Amino acid sequence: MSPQRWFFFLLSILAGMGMGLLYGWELNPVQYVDTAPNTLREDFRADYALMVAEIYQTEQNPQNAARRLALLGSQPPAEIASAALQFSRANGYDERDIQRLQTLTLALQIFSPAGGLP
Amino acid sequence: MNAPQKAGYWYLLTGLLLGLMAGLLYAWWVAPVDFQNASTPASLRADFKDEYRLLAASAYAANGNLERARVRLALLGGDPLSMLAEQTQRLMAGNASAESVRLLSLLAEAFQSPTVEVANPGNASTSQTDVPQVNSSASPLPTLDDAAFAPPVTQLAPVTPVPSQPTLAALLPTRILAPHAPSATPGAPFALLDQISFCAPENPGLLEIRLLNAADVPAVGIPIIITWPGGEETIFTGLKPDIGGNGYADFEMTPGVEYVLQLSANTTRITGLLTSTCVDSAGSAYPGGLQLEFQQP
Repeated sequence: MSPQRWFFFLLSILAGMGMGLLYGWELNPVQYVDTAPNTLREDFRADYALMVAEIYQTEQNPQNAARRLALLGSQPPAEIASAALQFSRANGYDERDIQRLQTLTLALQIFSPAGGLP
Repeated sequence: MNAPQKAGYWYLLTGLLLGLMAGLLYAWWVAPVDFQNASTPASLRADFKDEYRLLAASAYAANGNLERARVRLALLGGDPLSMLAEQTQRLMAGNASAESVRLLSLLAEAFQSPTVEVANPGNASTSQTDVPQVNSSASPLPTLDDAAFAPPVTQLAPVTPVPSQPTLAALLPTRILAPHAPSATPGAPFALLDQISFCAPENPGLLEIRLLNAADVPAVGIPIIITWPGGEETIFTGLKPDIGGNGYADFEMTPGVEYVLQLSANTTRITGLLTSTCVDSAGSAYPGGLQLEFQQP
């Protein structure tokens, strides 16, 4: 095969690879099913934490709140709530929702799982 | 002269296919799109979806915001009402806590009856604007093909500020502030509309109960307590939709035993429920059934 043909052969391979990557990453990416809450996108995580905050507002039970937030990851619950609080502030959530998340974050920061609230 | 020309085209096509296969292999197996921290509620495993649904129901019980609960359940995919009913039935079958069943039933009932929301003063603080909005703007994380996973509702975002806000305690009804009270359903207690004895040899002694809410819609997931001397059983409406619809429940009575039926956190109580005596075509006696129909005023 002539050098020119080798060149076009390699070029066609590269073009095929490009099309394959485009299809596999953008047009039809791998679909994950049966995921866990800790893989949720940031806005869904924030709303999940907001649900916990709404329940906490009525229950006033930091242990239950911490248990619910544990599904969102292995970080301390206060960190998860704090991240949701930051997201809510950065994205202009309703003031009452921000307040709920703030209350939850504060409660979890002073909550110790072993002995409850100091 | 033509043969070499055709061979040239073939090797180009071969190269393209080889490249395509290599590209797909890399994109799907070697380095697939990283979905860590980028999945949607619709892709959650079934048990996590149950947890999410229960959390949304608990949040609804706490804030009384039905639209917000509706949006949250829609994110899970499927029909929210049937999913709630299905989960309630599974929980009851698995002897889960009555509180979980109550929360899910409360939300299912609210979905079925829009008047419940109107009657719920909790919504005064949660107007239509206080609902997670669909935001078509760029996601904070790399955009994914959400359509492949779920309904196109993805970005839960910022809600419009609402002017003044009375305190939550002043707005929420008593049933929400006391979540452990055995409240069967929001709204007024069920009232007995009709009580009929009937004879059905294929279902001797059957007590059939039908519940309608204030909007004339069958009330699903409502606990009914039936007591008799030395025993008690709780049944729920909606477990036999193929027989009598979502508001239907039944119980097999024993002849000669007097039963008491309780509804709506004991505010509705029917006593003296007994089988009647029926005679079949052969002249043999068998216990007759009772039909009770209730509705919320």
